[in-house]
Amino acid sequence: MHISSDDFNDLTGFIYKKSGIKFESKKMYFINKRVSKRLDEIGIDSVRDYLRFLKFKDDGTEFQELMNLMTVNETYFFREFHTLESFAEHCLQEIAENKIGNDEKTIRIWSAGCSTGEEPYTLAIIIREMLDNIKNWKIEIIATDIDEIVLEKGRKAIYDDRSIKDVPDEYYNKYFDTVSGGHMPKQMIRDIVTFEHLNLMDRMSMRKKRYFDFVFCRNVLIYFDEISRKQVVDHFYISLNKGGYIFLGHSESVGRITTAFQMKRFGSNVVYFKG
Amino acid sequence: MDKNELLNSLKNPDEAERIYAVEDVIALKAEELYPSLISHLYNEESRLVRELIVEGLKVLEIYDHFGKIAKYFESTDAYIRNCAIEIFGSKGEEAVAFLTSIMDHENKEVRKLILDSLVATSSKYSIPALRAALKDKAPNVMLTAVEYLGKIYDEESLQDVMDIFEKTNEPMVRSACLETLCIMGDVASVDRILAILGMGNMDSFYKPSVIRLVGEKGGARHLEFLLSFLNNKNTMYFREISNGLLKIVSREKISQLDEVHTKFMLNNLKNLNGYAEERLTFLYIISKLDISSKDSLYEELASDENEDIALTALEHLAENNRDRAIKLIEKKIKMADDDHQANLTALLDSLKG
Repeated sequence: MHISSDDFNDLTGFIYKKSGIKFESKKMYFINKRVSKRLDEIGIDSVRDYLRFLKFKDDGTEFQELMNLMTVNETYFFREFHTLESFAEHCLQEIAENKIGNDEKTIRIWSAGCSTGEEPYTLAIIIREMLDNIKNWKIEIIATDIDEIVLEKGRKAIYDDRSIKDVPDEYYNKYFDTVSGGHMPKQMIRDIVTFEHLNLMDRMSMRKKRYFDFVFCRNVLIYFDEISRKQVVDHFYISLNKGGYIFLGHSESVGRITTAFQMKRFGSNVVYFKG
Repeated sequence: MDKNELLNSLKNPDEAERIYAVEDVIALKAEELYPSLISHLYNEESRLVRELIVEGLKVLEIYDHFGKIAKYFESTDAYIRNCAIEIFGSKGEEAVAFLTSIMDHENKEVRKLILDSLVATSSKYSIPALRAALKDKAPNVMLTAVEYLGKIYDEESLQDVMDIFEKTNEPMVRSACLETLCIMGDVASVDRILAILGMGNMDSFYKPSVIRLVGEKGGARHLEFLLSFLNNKNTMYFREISNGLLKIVSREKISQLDEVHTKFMLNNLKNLNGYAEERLTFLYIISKLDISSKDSLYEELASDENEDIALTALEHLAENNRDRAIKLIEKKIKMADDDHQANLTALLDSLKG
């Protein structure tokens, strides 16, 4: 089925309004394939009818299905290592020391746009490796995504060889089991991570996310336009405790989205925090 | 959502609540709260809340509240004044009529900011307002208008800018006029400026700008003026003078200059202690003149310590005597260090085609 440019504009406009995610005209082929597939599955003949259904009859379920099809979920363990290095060797230590000084024992991390879970599990591994006296700490990693299918994969936590290609051997031996179907992080890692459904553009849901020490939102905001991106990052600011850190993808810059965060340098890496 | 609730949230000591309140006003397009939002910017301490308010005002339909935004111009806080420029700028043409209507504000600083806002709209309908500001009594407003009209190359204002230069004594206004004339002046403008300032006893405050103007827009008849500065008393302006000379010589296809000044340039060109940039410019000028034994000059300069001068000399030598240049380059390649060798090789390749 061919999507006309009018249909493309109407459909992507609807998606943008509901999710903040912007699809440009160069994505038309990609969208054409995915939407056509969905229309076949549910027996709708035209994009116009589908849009009408989404707007007036859908209770959110079909929109969720559409989002599951449209969002790309490329990720693997220990992706963008230099960012994780700053987190592990500097930021985490700093936050932990401050908490000890204030007699606090909880560290909360939000992995926003977690996809199939490689990032939150990676963070869990790093924390277990880097924090002394881990038993004295309560670590919470909240992993959210708009796509229910990937969240389910995250909960199941079975990964193929491609996902673990960058896991150092000693970490694999310590934190993974080889299971039927692939590789699974051990229980002590899985227990730290909770998966939740969340639309980053849902203001009310975003407002419930508070008191985090770290927010990771890497390579997600590239799908958003300027206004939506700012709205999301503003919410991340609110969600962080004072002194908390935000990490975006290597091609994204916090400073270009908002001036609210302050900057710190660790070697050649720049990190942003809530001052 | 209740209007009073939102108003109270705007004053909440918790920054997060204030952010939510601003967000909700924007998302709900709660027009009755726009005045409160606009006023709130004055007292808000949080950078993020301020940012959010400004970004919101840029996307909301606030035409009926332009008057309140214009009050930002009177703030002692530079950030707020700049917010007004940003907000009006984002409105484009929609803001021009309003801004034009308040151009007679009693405060000259505000009048200047109005011009900044008009330009920020990027609307061609701002141009008449900018032209009108050329007649403002306040020098800071007048020179702002002169600068902006120059930047947008408004040739229709050229005569007005010339008139301003003639009538005013304000040095900063005159400087702005000169800079604008460098962009959109012509040979007649240069004549008039030199007549007003006098060629002989020109105030040294204006010298660099006038020299630049003559270089950019002058004709062959203005060479004498530039050459009159080419001596050891004006070495501070050598860069402007040499660049100006080069531009006129190139533009007017001049092939001869008087002996005294030609000799002066040759001496400075050969002076190894001189600034490389000036020496290079003199080299370019000399290359355009009919001078005997230029080839031997180029050969001499091909061994200059400064690589740019050496390579440029070889290029010019090649224009007159390609074979000689190639032989010389090949010889130098054998003795050169790595960096210089690479550049010489590239030149050789380009000459051999």
